[in-house]
Amino acid sequence: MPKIQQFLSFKIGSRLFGIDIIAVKEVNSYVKVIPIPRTGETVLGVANLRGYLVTVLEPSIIFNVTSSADKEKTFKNFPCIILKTSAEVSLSLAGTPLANQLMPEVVGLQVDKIGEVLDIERGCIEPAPANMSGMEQRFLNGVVRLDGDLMLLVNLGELLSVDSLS
Amino acid sequence: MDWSDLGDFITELVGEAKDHLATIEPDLLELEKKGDAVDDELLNRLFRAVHSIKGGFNFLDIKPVGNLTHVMESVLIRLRDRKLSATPELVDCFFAAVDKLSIMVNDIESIDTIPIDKEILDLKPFEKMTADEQAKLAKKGDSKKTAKKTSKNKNVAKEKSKLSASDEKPKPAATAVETPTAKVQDEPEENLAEGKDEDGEVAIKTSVASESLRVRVSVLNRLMNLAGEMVLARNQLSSTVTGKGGQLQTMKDGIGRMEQSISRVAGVLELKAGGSASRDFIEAQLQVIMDEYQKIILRPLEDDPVLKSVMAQVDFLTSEMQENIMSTRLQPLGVVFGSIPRMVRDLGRTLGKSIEVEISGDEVELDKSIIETISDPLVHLIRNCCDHGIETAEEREKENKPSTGLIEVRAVHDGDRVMVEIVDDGRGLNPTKIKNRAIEKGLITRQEADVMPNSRLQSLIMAPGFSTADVVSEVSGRGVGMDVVKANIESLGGTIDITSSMGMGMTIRMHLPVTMAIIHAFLLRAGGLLFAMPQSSIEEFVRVRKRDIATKVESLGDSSVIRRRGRLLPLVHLADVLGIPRMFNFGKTLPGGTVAKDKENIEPDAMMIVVLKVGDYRYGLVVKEIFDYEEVVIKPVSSYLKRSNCYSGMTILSDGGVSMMLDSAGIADEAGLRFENLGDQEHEKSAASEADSSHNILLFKNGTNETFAININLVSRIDKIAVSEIITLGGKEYLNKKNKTTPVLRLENYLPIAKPEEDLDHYFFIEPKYSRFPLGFLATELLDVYESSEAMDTDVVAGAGVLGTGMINDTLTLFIDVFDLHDRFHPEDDLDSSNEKYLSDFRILLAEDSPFFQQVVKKFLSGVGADVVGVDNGQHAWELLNSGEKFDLLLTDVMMPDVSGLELIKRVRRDQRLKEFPCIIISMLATDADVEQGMSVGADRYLIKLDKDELLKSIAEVLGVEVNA
Repeated sequence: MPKIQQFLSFKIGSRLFGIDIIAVKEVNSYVKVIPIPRTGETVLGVANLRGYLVTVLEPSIIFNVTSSADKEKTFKNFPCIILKTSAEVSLSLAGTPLANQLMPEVVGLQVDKIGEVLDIERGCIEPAPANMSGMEQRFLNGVVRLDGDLMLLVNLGELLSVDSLS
Repeated sequence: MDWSDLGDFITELVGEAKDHLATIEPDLLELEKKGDAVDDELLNRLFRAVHSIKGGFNFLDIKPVGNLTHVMESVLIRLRDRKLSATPELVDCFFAAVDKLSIMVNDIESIDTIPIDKEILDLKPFEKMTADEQAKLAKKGDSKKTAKKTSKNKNVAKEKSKLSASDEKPKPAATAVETPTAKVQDEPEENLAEGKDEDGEVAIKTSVASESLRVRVSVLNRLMNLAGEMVLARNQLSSTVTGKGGQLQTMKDGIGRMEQSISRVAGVLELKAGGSASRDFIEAQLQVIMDEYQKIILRPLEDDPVLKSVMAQVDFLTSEMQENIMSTRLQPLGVVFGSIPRMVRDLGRTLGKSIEVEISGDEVELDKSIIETISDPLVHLIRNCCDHGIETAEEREKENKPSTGLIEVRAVHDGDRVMVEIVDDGRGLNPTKIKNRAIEKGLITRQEADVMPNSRLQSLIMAPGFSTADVVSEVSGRGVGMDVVKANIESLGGTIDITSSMGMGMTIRMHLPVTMAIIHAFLLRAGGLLFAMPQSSIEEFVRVRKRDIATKVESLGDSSVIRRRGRLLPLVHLADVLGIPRMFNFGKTLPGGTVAKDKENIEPDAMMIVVLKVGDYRYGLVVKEIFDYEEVVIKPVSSYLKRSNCYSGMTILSDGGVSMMLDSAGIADEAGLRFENLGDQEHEKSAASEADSSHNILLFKNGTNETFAININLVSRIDKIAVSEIITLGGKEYLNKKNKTTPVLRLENYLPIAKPEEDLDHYFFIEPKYSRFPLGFLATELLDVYESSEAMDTDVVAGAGVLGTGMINDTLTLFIDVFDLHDRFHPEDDLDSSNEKYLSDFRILLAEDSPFFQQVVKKFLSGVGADVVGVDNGQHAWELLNSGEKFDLLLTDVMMPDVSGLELIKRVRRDQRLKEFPCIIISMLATDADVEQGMSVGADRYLIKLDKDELLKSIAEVLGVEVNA
């Protein structure tokens, strides 16, 4: 296990989140998401990413945090984090536990704002506190203290399994 | 164990071992059936397979496989030398060993952890045992199962005859095996067993130089995806080239805007200059600029012949490539059928029943993913047959049935689909039991059950949460029911239905697509979103003008219905089912009081209804708009979107947009439509009214005074086309539309008629049904659909390409003969002209009440020399048959006045002299139930009207005439 792990940071509302950079395929602000009726509000819709179909999720609803973007954001260009599939991540890093957490299909997460990629020392990661007003602890792998801010490290396995277990 | 250094070598070896294991299983089954009568060839084949596996694994020093195969091999040698007999006990041990082998081969990494001691220990005794000892052992084992054993022996003879009938290569007579000569012939193979050093070589020699390659499935999947993307890219390219989208359209729009501003500029200048002369001058100058612009920019793109022909090439190559890639994924059904005999054998032994299985259609090919998806359902269905369907030998004997039960598994091509049928001769479904069970489970109410016909009851066993077995046994009923089977089949776009008569057995029939990659889908809009509906689910489109809605659409409580050809279609609003705002409600206030605010909300001027099929039932789906169809690649529904039943897939459209594929059955389900409630009467009525449409004819013009007519049932599709979509290649005209190139036939070139008086920008392109090659002809104007074809007079003109003439609405109308036109358009594939008049010795009686169809069928048959006598009802036909006149065949319609076709055949079959008389039904009624009914009264064939090739082929078959292809 390397001592340093890289995280892509992003914001939903005022909250700062981070996900393991290895799980990220790309960030794209120009995907046009088509809403799909009768699929629940955690799913924003489906987009065509260069011939691949991407199901775009709404993490703000799943995390129960308020998004600063207005509800009609489908038709505006908000950044979308496209995640690797479980097969892709195994190719880039054999034996990674992420392979079991990611989906066999292409999934995107629409967020409010993309931040920097941060190098985090393993030792700096603390367990998630239980009092995360409104947000369930199971969605987090831990937290990292940054200057004046707290980055919440997303547990992708929990996030992605929401609503996909039909 | 770490094999990484051996890599590919291991993969190759495992692949080979799997191939061998696949041949071992059926051979073992046959060995068990034939017992000592088995021939040396089979034993040698078994030996070779086991030996090859052993050789390969020993070479790589993989001990466990080597050890197990070694024991198997030595027992096989003793079997071959006739020192042992193939008792069920021995074969059981062998099966266990083979199963273990396949576990090991499939999990080569952990091969060391798989225990094989039991299998080896079980087989070991047979290495030394004498035949006498074996017989003793067999007797001991048998005393428990005497009853079963005897019933088995009784059937050995029957089994044998069946085997030789179904097997590809009949085995040499069993008696020959015992003779010394047979042994001498086997000499070379004898060496194989003893000279161990040569073994490797021999094994290689036996594997015939193969013409196929192993390709990783992942590579094929990738290729498949790429081919799909390529088709999409091609569609996008061609819509750009033909100017339907992209740059060219932008340019055209730009020119339109430029023209507008030119005339505005000209208007201002006119005011200022105060003279029309200067305005004319300015306009003329600006026009020059416009023309030049068009010439330089637009024309080269639009009219470039090179671009067009390159596009046509790309079209052709893409389709060709895609088809070929698709075919690499086809696998024979034998892959799944192969495991059935073993499974039935094992189940039979477990259940203490004697069951035999007959399989045909091993060679029918389907896409790998479809084969994989139906594999489990198929296993489940067969288990059901064995467990619930087939009775025990004692029960069967009481019912006067042969003590051995029979399961037949068949696969045949059926148009562009494949039909798989599982037939058993067991106890069948018990309607009372089903009824009680369904009521108990709350699936239906007692009242519903009382009025429900048996055919509907049978489909209830596929409802979720239904299982008829009194006791959930070890064999079936492990939580997966028929509902899962049904869902699996339907997820493929297939259908499944069950027919059964109590005490006689059950038939399960599945219709499956051959591939599932690319389909035609119509685009629909509802609630501001675009959806795709597979063409195969659509029956027709109905447009109800706004002012007619009040009279044509009837309301029943909350729901509305529309009357179509005498039957009521329930209407469902797509927007309602999907829970999105409807945006319009034809004059009534919308729930929630939505107010029109943008163009999405503008009320359309007509109600658009897509009539959808779900099995034999129909319903209308109301949408806002219906667009043209597109070729789309279906992708599986994302796991996040499976919450709704409404979708069967997702797809990317040619403009790059994303759309969900709708599922007609799922929508009906979500909308709460319950078709089971409809009685059979309603169903029959709808079938009958469809048959009535056989009298509808389409009237059209071809730019002159003449009016033409074609039976609507012969029309597959009508398109409005622009003349610019017709291209000329190699002196022939083709319509290039929707990435499909269809030859164009101009009537004036094939009929003695005048040319259209003027060239038009648009034509109607009429594509006939039942043509061997794609083809379409042009019409300038569509007039009307006229009911009844009685008006045709066949004696006046019966020229080439014309069936006859008639006075319709006081106008002389030519009835065109599309089959003749087709044959003359494609003279090279005219089957009839290359054949002699092979039916010239035959006299055929044709009972058909429609003079039009009588004429068409007569023409087909006289083309091959037959003498046809036509009558217009069943009574007349019956009198003629009884008058002593000689006929060789009866062709009859079903729906006829006085005596129907079914009644006619019943009478024929009841008559001693005519019992065997060949009878063929030709009809427009085409549901499975109709065909079954026709066959049950004794028809030799049941054909759909107007398919000429099929008709001629069937007649030749029924009469036993050889036709030289």
